[in-house]
Amino acid sequence: MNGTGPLLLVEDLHTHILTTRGVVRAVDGISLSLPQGSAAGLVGESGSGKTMTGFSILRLFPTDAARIVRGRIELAGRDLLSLTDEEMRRARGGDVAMIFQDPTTYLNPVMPVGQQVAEAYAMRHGWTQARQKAVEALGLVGLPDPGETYRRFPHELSGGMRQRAVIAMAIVCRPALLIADEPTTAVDVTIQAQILDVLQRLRRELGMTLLLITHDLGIVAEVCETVHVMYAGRIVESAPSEALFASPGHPYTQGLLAATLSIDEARPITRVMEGAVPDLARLPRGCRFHPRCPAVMDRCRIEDPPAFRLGAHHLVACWLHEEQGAP
Amino acid sequence: MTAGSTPLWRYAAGRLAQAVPLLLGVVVVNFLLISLAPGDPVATLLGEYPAPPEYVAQLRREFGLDQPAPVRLALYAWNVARGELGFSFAYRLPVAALVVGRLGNTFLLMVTALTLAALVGVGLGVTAARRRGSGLDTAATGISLAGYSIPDFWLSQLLVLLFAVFLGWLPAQGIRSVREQYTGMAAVLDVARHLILPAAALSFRYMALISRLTRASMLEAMSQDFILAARARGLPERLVLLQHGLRNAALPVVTVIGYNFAFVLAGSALVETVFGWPGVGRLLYDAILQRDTPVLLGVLLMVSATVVVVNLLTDLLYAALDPRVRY
Amino acid sequence: MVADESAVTPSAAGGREFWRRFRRSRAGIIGLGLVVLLVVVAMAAPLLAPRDPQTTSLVTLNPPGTPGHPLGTDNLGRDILSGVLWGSRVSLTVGVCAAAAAVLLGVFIGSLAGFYGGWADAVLGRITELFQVIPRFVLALLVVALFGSGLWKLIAVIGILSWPQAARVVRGQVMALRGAAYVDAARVLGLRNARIIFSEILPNVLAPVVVIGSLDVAGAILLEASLGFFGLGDPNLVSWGMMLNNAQAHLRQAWWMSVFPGIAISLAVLGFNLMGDGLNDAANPRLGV
Repeated sequence: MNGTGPLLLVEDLHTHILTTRGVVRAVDGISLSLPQGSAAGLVGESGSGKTMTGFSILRLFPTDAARIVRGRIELAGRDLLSLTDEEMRRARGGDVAMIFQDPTTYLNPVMPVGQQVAEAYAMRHGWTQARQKAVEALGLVGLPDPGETYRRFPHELSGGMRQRAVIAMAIVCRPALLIADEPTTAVDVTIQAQILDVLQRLRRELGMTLLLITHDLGIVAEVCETVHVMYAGRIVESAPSEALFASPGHPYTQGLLAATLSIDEARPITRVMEGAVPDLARLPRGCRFHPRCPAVMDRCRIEDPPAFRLGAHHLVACWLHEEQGAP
Repeated sequence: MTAGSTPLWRYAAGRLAQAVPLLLGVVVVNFLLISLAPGDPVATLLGEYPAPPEYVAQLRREFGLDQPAPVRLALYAWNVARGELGFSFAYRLPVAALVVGRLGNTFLLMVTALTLAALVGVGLGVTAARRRGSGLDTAATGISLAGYSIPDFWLSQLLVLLFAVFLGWLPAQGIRSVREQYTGMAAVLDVARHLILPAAALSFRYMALISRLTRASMLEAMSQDFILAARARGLPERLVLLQHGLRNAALPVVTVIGYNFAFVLAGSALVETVFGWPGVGRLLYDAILQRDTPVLLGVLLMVSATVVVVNLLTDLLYAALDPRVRY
Repeated sequence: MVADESAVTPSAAGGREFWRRFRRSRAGIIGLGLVVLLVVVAMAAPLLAPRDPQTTSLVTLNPPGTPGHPLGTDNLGRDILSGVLWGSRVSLTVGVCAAAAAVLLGVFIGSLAGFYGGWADAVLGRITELFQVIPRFVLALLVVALFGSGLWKLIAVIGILSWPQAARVVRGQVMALRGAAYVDAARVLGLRNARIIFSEILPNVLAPVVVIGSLDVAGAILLEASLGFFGLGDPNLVSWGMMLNNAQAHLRQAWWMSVFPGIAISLAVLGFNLMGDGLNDAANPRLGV
């Protein structure tokens, strides 16, 4: 792994899904870059394309109908899209790993948890060391008595423990990049904090880079240095966390922030965003957010805005910020 | 296989306890048949062979035929428990000894057929699931349907016609050649030669069932989330298919195989008759011809007991494979 | 309170939808075709058969193509074609009547067990288990051997041995529907239990029961043929099973005695199995399996 340059570089990624209703442009031209050791958040509602972005980086989709049609994905300088299927398979788990939302359904119910953790290691380095490494990983994620937990089956563990086990499965081979897709959505609020804690710790102790995919701005604020806001397949705003929360530029981001409940303040929801995410097979003309935008202008209905620079690393794709200059 | 929640032996003990009333139920059914059959129960118990009057008197005493019904039931159950199932005058042997003697041959046939059916069926099912919608899949489905609908005894006759009568490759009757006396390895091979056709006939129906079930089960298992998670860890496809997919898909298949044992037993009766295979089934056929009722009753009892045992074993096998069941 | 649409009893207009889905199932259509063929042959047997199937003659063991006997004759000179055609009557009668009996019994007992639960359900469970343990064929053999093999006895035996499966399915469905909103609504309206079972629950149990029914007919035909093969069919009637029993002793000399009745049985059973599959597809539409 080279020290210079970002760990993950995504350029103009387009991922399409063929459906009976036509081509769904799940990811419609996004670019982002993650420096080594950083944590970035990819935020959006369901249907925004954030999960598909994660799948695209892994080049693994839950359906045969999805395809990366254009773009560049580089991991530590290595072009992932040019790898053969076999090479990509080896990269999964080893260089880049992904954890998913619901630990219950993502664990094989008839196999001991530890074995599922050890598998990925055993495949690369043989079984002699695999068990030990698996126990290590289980300990790293904070599971008590990892040796004992190794033998347990998923249904014998609590939800929080299962999620930790899932994380252990992902990091056992020490991947450079961990993509976490809604890791806290399926667990209790009290467990959420623990899971986030685990992720933070892993970042520090293993120097792992984290891409956190979520709809929950709260956890992004806690964990991530950079935030990318996605809407209908595009990134509409990218900024360092403080900048985003302090002065969000895109009306969508503003709406999300306003709609988020603050646990500390227990403030009631002040504003609910009208409308819903558009049908990705039939996107509106112009800015795709314009039907829901409270600050919509005539131009928005016709032309899709490019990204404008709002600050040092702060980009917004909105005509409201045209004066601030082109990126 | 780890111990998991409830240790396997405790689960086994529990199931064993449940099996006992079932066996009692079978005895009651037998008793009802004897009592309700038209004519004198003694005649039923004797069959239509002339028996010495002392034996008839002994029978009256033993089975308590001059006692009220509940006493008779108790006496009958006690006799069964002692292994006293009556005497067959057609064969001049105690029924129990006669049936047990034949069971071995039937088991040989059944186990061979079952193994054949399992191997071919699972293979066919997995392949059909992998290449869903292809010509192979349709062909496999067609074979399944045929296996369901073609009567085993007719299939047996067809096999005899084709391989024994027209082609002359394989013997049509019996378990070993009558003309030669083979010893040692040659004897084993001789039996094997005679085993091929009946085992194939018996296995066909089962194979159809297994392949259909495996296919459906595999499709179900492979669409589960943990398959995606396994692929995301970079596991090779064969491992995913077998260790994660089949391991889960096998569960319902194993149960169905085990619980359909009763049907295979019935099928065996028919197949044995066509091939003159000296097993329990053939015994049944001859007993009907000879009106040897005690043998019929004895067979029913033994056969049902066997099914209870096999069900028990299936339960245990399932519990061994699926740790969730043992609670 | 939000008005719940499912609180309204599902209407029978769903029946038309059911029919439409059935028509789209290839298996179902083929099955239906075979069944219709069977019914037609059974009803028209006296017209279609060239001669009386039970009349013996001196033209014994003649192969197919013999003048007057397109499918050959058996060891007693009886015409195979006529036998096959007339045999359809026995198979169809026994199959349908036995299955009907099994289904009626099964629905009755199953709905009671499912609705009332408790010890009724426990007893049903035990009995079902017992029936599953004793091989149906062996028990049927025994009963027929002891009690006789007239046509109606056969129907009764097969029917009585087949009800547990239907009962189990019905019980499951009834249990599931017991807690449905419209059942509660009916209770609130003061309807008696029996009325609730009949008018609210049973119509919705109909779909799986029809599927079971079709499969039961297939099973009954097979069981009847098996009994016939063991020589336990009605001795006064021509049945496919008995024809195969006869064929067994003459296999080497007259393959046609086995092949044609066997094809008939297979087609009949296949027909009802396929139809059952089609009905199943119509009852549980799956999205592109």
